[in-house]
Amino acid sequence: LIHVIGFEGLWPDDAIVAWGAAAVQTTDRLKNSLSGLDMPWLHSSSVQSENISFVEMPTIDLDDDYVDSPLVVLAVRKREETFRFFLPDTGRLQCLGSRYNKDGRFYVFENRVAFDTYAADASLGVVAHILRENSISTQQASTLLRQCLILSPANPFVHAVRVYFSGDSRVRTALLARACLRTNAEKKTFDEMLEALGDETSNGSRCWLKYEDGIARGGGLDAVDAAKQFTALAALDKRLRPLLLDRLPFFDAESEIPSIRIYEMRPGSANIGFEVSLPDRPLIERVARYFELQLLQEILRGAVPPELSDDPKFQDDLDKLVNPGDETRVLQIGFGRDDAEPVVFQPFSSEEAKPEKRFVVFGIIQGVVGEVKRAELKLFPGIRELVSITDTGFDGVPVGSHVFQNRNDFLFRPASFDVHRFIDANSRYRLFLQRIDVLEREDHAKVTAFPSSVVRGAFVLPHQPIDVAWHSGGVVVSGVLLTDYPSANHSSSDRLVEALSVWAKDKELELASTGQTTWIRAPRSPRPTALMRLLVSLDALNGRNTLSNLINEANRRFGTVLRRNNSLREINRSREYMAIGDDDDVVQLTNQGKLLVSIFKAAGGSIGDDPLVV
Amino acid sequence: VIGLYWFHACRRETPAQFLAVLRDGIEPPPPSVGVGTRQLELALGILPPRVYCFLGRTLDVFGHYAFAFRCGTAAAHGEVSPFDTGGLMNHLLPVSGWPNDRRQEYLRAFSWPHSTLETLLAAYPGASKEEVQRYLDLTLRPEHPGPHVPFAGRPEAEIWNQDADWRAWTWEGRWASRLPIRDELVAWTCPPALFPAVIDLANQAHQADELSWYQELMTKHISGGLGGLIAMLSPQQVPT
Repeated sequence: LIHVIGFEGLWPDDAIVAWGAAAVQTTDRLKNSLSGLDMPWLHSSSVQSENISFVEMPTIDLDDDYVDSPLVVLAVRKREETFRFFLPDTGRLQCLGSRYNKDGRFYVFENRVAFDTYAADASLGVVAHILRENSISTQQASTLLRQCLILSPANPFVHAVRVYFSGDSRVRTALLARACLRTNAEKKTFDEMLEALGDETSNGSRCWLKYEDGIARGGGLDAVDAAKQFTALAALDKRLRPLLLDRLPFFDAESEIPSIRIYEMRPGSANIGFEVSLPDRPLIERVARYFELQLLQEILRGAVPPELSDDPKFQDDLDKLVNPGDETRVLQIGFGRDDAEPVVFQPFSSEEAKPEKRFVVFGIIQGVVGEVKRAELKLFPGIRELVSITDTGFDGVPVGSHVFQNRNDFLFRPASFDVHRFIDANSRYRLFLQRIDVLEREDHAKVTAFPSSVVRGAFVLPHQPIDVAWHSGGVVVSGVLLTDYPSANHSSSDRLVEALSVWAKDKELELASTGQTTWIRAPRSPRPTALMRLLVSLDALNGRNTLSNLINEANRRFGTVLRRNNSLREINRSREYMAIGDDDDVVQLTNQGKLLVSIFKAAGGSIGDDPLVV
Repeated sequence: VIGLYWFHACRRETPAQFLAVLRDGIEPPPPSVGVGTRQLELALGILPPRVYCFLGRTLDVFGHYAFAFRCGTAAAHGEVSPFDTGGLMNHLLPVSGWPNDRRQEYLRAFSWPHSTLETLLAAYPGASKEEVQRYLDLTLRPEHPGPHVPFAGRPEAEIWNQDADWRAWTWEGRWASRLPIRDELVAWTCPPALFPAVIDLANQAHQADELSWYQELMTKHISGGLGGLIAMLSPQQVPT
């Protein structure tokens, strides 16, 4: 065994927390766990007489496997209730041991990454608490934030909140806080968070969307037009939440993020005012609303986040918001700006797009929109494609599109869609319908592609076509009965696409494992899911490494602030792709996980910042 | 260009006193302070008292405050030796068993002006990536039994022998007058629990040049105390 008998540094009375390198005693040496420097050491009683600069603590014995580990000790003093913010969840963190005495609680972390993960979690928890508490005093906030400075001296959220509470010395505090941050990403986050928090003199809490002429001619909006615009806004609001959750790590769930708040409408032409600061509401709401509106403003300036740029539903809602009708000009006045600027959004233009690949997919006709000019095809539960039923992209009309004109029973009918994918100058894609075959009972169809379950925007192209049939017993794909389909209605179609997506997920893995497919790559790499970020990072670490190193690699590679508990949750629900030891330490890719990564790469998934290999 | 940094660890009553060191430089202690060190200095003929720094790492295993600085012109008035002089009195056999006059002669033979450091380092540990890595690896002793091999013609003593540890082959720098490190500062650290107090001091800066200095200082802070400082800077000192 080795013995952790203290930690380097000091623990002043006014500090709830302290931390430092472990003082590790072996048989006859005493070692600084971080620097590796050591010295002869025979008697622990000589701590005081040797005038050694470490804080004594109850001895924590560890297996001697850890003798060369860069251990870190955390000390938490039991004081009032606030100390609970800083107690680590030893079950999920790489905490090797803990002991208590009258001074407090002591924990040993396996390495600096494990400690930093704890420190970021604890600090973000404090930030969230301060932002949620309307009545927190400056003194209370300051005490908590000082502990965060001890744990995470370069955390941009901590520094921004600290500046917010700095009163008259705001400018000076902000300058110094910014100097504490290391990376450009940290500085950007700090600047944005500071803007989001605002201050008493801030004039940047309101922004505007302005409609001129067209639907706003004469001032105001007709109720029908207003309802359309607000519906589009609500749809966009919903789509932005996952992005916000990713960018604001002190939120735990999308449900915590408040909606965009419409605060004022002026009839001058038609001005919709949005507000982030509401009286008597917690600061956290202001922060969330600010970031969401800021994101919307950037989108309206043409900077659509990559994860939404290939989302046809999002693009469609955005198109509705900013192109409400002929002759309508749409402008915005951003936070802290006086002048209106025209919104910039280029809807997909088939004239500028180029045909890429033609294939046949299977799905359901979900509806027709735009005065029977476009059909909504549902391929998977989350994948809907809007296709023109009047234009093939080659100056023609899709074969079979007469069903939309001459019949009224196409809704929720299984069908095969012969489509050509076009890519525009911004690497966005649209499917152009070439031919539609709405299935009658006992009909068969051959399909040549289906959406990838691994990379959104990619399609699986099996080497052999897939047979689809609608029998009296139900819909059969490749000889597999997916579900019954007694009649074409909403619930039957939902059941079918759900079953189809489950079948397709397994089929994609099966085809990949036998080399029986290629992929049409996603034209833009969508932002990978948390699972794929972990899998790609683990693959880059040769398929096996500690959880701490995995989180570190994922954060480096994808510029995220992954938290340990979220990562562990993701791993635990993805055990078919990643195996983790009972001690929550070493994570390893399973064969299925390796397969998934290979599909992800082949289908055009983003692997983040991959170091160049020479 | 010397890639290795000088390190210095120290204790101070308050963070303000430590920041004063970073700003104004470090002075040798008055003779009345640090009696143990003064006795060693007297025995080895080191007069007046010196400021001590060590190349690549500190000699202190644990510390409160610490900083690292480049081997630039600010350090030019010092002298250097390829071992810890305190060890000559305490534990570096066989020298520690010699009479004082012989020990002093040994120290004089292995003391050089700081201005010659680059040439000295080329002889020991060497300038290649592998040689510097070896110097920074605490577990690997030099390939020679003592400094008389790389620095031939000087008294022979196998102080880098099997019983010695890394202190025996760590370069020591000694300065008899104030050592200004402000312009050469690479990084500094303090006990993590005192960092908020350092921020408080910085927030009290009102003059523009003072605020500017604090801003620059914050960019050089490394968290995690002395252990964190050495762990962070060790890889940076290895030539690429």
